[in-house]
Amino acid sequence: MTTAKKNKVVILLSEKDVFLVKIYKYKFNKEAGWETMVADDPKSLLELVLKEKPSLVLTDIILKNGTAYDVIEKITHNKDKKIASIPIVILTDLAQNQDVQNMKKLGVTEYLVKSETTFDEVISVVKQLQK
Amino acid sequence: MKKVTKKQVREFLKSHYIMQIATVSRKKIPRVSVLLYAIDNDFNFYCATHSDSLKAKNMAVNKNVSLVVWENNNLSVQVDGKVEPIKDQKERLKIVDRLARAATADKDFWPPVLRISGDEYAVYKIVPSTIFALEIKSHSIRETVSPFTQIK
Repeated sequence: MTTAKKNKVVILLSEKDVFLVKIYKYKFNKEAGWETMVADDPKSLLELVLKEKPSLVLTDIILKNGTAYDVIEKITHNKDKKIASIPIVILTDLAQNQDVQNMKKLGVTEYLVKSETTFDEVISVVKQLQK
Repeated sequence: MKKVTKKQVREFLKSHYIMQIATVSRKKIPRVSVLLYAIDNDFNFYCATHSDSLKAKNMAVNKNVSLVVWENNNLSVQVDGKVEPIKDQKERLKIVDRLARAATADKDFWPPVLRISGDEYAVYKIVPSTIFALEIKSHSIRETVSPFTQIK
């Protein structure tokens, strides 16, 4: 059974900062009741998306062993409409306009810059996308 | 004056998660920092910081640390001890997990360490050599005997 079928919000979180990952995990669960799956590299990110079909992907661009670019393209251009329609939220340190444009072209839903975003804003964005 | 018990101190330390810790540089210059911590039943403290932080550099050259956890109208616990870097990856993740769990106890708290750029962490165990507790509920102007209790 995929997690999407459980009718529960499951966030697939991809981030290489282990401490940040744990904080997100506990805060998402405590403050919004969401479950979290974690992938720290592009390969496991793609595998989990295809296997678990999460409610939403929250990912940094720079991951362990590579970037999220190729994986995002494989998600947003997937033949399986269920996978292609999974919202993707970028949460990254990269604040250059070019990075934002590149990601928008790939079809990401939201682009958030860590230095300009609070945790409450992340929760709010995810809630909006789950409506 | 009521003496503080070991159980009281353990419960107090388990219900808190922020300490002030002093480290000392190679040139013997002290630095006090605020850090998240977790403890075990033997009063060993666990903490983490960015690998390139000043306190990490200090702890690499001088293992001696001194820390305090306190709350007004409750307790102040002072600890001297030595740091041991934790190298085992499984153990490190377990400690980071405990620190993250502790840090999310308060909804309005966002760990300052996350606001600082970098994602490489040094993880430590602090083995205490002495622990002194001071009950700070009593407001008597002065005690006839030392108000500190050594926790053994």
